[in-house]
Amino acid sequence: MSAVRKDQATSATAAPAPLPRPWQSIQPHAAMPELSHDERVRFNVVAAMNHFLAQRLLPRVREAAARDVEPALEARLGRPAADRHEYRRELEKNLTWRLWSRLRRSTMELRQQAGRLTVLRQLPELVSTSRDLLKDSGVSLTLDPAMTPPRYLTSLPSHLMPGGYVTDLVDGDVTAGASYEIGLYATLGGQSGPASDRAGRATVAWLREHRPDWRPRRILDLGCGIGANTLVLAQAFPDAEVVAVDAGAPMLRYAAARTAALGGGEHIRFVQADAERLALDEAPFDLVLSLMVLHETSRPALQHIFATSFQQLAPGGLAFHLEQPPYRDKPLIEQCLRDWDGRYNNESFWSSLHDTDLVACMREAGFAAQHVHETTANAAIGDAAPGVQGQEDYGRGGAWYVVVGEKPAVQTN
Amino acid sequence: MSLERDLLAMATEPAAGPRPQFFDDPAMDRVWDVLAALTAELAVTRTRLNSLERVLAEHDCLPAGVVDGWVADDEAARDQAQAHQEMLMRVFRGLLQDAAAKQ
Ligand SMILES: C[S@@+](CC[C@H](N)C(=O)[O-])C[C@H]1O[C@@H](n2cnc3c(N)ncnc32)[C@H](O)[C@@H]1O
Repeated sequence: MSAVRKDQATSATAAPAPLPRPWQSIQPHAAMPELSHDERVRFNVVAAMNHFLAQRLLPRVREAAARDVEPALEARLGRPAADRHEYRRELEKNLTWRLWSRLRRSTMELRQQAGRLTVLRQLPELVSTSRDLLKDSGVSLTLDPAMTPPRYLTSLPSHLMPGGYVTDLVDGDVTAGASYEIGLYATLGGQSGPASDRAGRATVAWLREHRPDWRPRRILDLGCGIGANTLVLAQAFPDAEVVAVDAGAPMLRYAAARTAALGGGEHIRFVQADAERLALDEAPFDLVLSLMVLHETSRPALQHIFATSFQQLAPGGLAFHLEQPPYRDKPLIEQCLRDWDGRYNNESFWSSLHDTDLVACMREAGFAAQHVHETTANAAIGDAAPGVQGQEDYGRGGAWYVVVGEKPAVQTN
Repeated sequence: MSLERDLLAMATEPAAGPRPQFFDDPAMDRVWDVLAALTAELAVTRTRLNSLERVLAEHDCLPAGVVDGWVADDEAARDQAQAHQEMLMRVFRGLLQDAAAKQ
């Protein structure tokens, strides 16, 4: 039976964790929806509720797990739980866990409804603004209306976003991208930085450390979303040609407009395509990235995306796939808490990803064993030092795991 | 210009995928969900009032649109975020107290 670790227990005398960043600390730009006072506050309240759940109720879930759930499990099985699934089935009977889960799900649904209404009430303006911003901006956008999105994106739209990343509500729609940017900021309480680009900054920091003088000439970003992280990469390598691929047209339209509005990404080409079977009729890339994409795919898709990263890579190039850290040796209660988004927040592949050997998958995709490595990446949130966020909001924090694959300048296998 | 559609209904459309039931009685899930939403709206309202008071103090009067255009500065934002935590501690008092009393 695992006891509650002392540093994780809340004591009445410990200093309270820092509050979430206010919504208005988001980096503004011309493609972003406008929020009224109450809309901003409603997002702040979503952040406040998540903060409350993580800081106040979650420690009680942990206590209940150690005090009630684990003894009940052992009494029933005659041994401790064998894995997180067995553990979870007992945990799901616990009232405190049920309340925490119920409220966490509710805050997610609240956020989606709030963000969507904000966007819909000004959608015609957002559509025309995004068109105007793109005109003569240098940023290029190529859509493929004939593309069939991967089934996992429509059957289980990530983080409960109605219609997911791929549904167009109107001609030239940007709803998915716009509500993604404003809502994610609320859910994370600003933890991904004012421009939601912390993963991109972590990637650039990693590259500067591990390949100090390297200047990739061609960069491919698979599953670029709203292009926030793509832009950081593009700004770090202003001489590179950058191709950013996504399956969702409303994501890409918003990404292109956002990039044009913020500037510095005129060398990015946004392309609608399936990263699983990418047929780009052009030169290979020095750097192929996927940032926080894999957990929203499927087992076969993951393998296909790794294969794409191998096929599109030039000799001497680097494939860089950034994700949530694996559970590995974490106690079962921690694994269950981190698994929550997979089960209850439509993150289709979140849970199974942790049972998948990504190094083996990279080898299967074509990378030589000695050229595949696991590593980690992190970056500060805007001006704040890393690691000052207090109790992590399980699985949504900013400490990443990366699997990298290199293609030697002269291929050895 | 606006969309000639029922925006509230569109915004409230559920995402595809299962809707989890955490309690034995689904009514309990609904009640807690409503409570969460109500709590959020109450917090929004309280903050609206708080903002209004601040704006009034700043302007001595209340021209139309002033509150909607007002953005909390860092200090006010911190105060408001703190008020949200206080409100949540009030509303979910019983739940925390039940859990603590079991120790
Ligand atoms: C969580 S978002 C991450 C976005 C971005 N990489 C970032 O770091 O902000 C995942 C994105 O991957 C895209 N995606 C998932 N599967 C894809 C596929 N097979 N082909 C292209 N895009 C895909 C989704 O449309 C979505 O925009």
